[in-house]
Amino acid sequence: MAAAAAEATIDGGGKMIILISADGKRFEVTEAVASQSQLISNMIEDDCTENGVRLPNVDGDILTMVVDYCNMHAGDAAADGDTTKASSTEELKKFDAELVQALENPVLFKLILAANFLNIKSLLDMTCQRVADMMSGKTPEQMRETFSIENDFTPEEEAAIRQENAWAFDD
Amino acid sequence: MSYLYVYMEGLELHFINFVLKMGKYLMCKRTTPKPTHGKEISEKGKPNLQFEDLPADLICTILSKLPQKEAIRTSVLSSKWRSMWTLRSKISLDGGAVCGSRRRGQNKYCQRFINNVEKVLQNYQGKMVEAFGIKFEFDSILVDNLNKWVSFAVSARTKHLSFDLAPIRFARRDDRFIFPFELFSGSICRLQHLQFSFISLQPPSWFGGFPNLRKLELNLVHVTRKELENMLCNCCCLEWLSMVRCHLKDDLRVDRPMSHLAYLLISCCVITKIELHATKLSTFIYEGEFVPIVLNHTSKLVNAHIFIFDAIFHHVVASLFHGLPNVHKLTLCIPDLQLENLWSLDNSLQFSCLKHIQLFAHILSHGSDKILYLAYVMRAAPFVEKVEVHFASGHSLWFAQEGPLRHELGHDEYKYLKNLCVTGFKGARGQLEFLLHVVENATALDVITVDTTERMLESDIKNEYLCSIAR
Repeated sequence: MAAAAAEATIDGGGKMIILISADGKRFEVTEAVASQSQLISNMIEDDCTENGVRLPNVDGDILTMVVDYCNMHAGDAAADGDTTKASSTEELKKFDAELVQALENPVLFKLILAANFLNIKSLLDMTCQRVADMMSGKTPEQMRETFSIENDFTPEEEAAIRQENAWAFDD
Repeated sequence: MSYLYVYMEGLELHFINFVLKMGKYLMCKRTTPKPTHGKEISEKGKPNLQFEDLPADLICTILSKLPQKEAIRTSVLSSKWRSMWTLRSKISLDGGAVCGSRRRGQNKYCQRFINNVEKVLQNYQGKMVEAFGIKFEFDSILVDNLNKWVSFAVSARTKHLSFDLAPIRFARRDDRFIFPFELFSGSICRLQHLQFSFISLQPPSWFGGFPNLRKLELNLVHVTRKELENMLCNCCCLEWLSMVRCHLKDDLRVDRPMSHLAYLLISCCVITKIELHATKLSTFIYEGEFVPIVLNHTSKLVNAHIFIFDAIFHHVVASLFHGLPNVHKLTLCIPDLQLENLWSLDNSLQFSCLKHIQLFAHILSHGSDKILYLAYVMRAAPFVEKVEVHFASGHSLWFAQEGPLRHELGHDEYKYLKNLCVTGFKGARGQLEFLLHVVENATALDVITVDTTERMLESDIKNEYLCSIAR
């Protein structure tokens, strides 16, 4: 069968599926790993992963991160008896923090879009939280700098907006 | 012939499979997002994806993770950001954040809160607001506005409404905000989660309940038995009910089955009895005076956590036999535990599902001679697998010599007991005899843990917890 190439099985017995990024990079992962994406999980259930799953709006470099994340987190969802694979909670936390910490904004936003598209709730939650954390506790000036926002208000306009909900601006 | 039949069947199945796959393939396709986002994410030449380029629902998710105040601050960043914070479908306005500390007079302070809340709500005219929360110490000046805000929640199709109006010093205050049920007449009520604090509930007779309500949290709420029963009878989807400091001074009783109720917490309420028909209840937490508890329709009661201020141990156990016969894990905490030597438990009554017993026993010096009798609770649980006894006693228990020896209890059989854990062990005769009694009668015992340190008595945890809810 033609599908056999894409649906190889590994020693562990988990079925493999191929994810194909927008720029044609191929990633071979187990079903258990891929099913953390609700989108792919639905496709597996519906039996439409035989020829690989094309993800036309996820770049290879982003998909690399997503696959790393899913490999790392495969333990939480799947392993009940399999404690060898399940990473400890602390390890996971460290991994997650490191994953998003160093990202440039555009890459982080792309990762958010990918998590949203693939419907990986925990990754979406974590990346959105990262953006929220980047905003938190900052003055408007610092926020503009963080997100490269150009202030197109005149000082008068800005003052008027501050006045509207003045309580939110006094510390 | 039979071969052909099978073959035909196979063919048919194959065809059905094919049709299904086609259908599913189409379904898979449908889930791809609009091409505009695809472009942004895949075009290498345009790497500068900005926050503002994210789709509205993601911006909403991110902004919802910020406190209200910080979300509003983003309005000043640029014209693109001007109204972006209103994409967040969650409003939570807390007096402390909105008005700062109370420096000026009470009236001015309330007025300032009202004005600020109104200004925020103006931005949400005609929009849906999933969650709406107000936290401010109740004052009668607020009544008109509170009514208006409830009305806002109705029109914004709010699912999660929280009115926390509890003052810091609530002890001598009998005033409450009377919840305007009349605003819910004629509209389909979308509320799924209600949190009320310092409110009076007086539902009118025509009130048909909140048909979509899943979670109801009441704190310092004034309500009568009849009114509460009426309301609960009509909330048929209710899964979660908590009542803290709601003094019914009467029975909490609902005759109609509450078929979805999975979680029930009753804490520090002056009530006379709890009687519910909740077959799916899985967690029950009770903290308060010793009152009859009748939840004997439950079939899945996984966890019961009973914290009783003071009571005679075997009265509590006997009462729970009748009220919670199907409990799987029972945690019993009685700070002022009184043990008596002679128990006349009805032998026909048993906790037939009980697998795990956790006892927090605060032994006062006069009780040290009766510790051994704690074993009676195990006698009533023939299938118990794990027993934890956490003693708290201070120093009075060290090597205390009072009390009977274990042969007074006679022989028991704890066939399924695998794990025994005793903390706060002070070498008192009662403790030692208890341990030996269990060890001698539990043939399948795997693990015994004995620790002299006292695990923090549950009451300390509880007090912290109660302080936190009392704020």
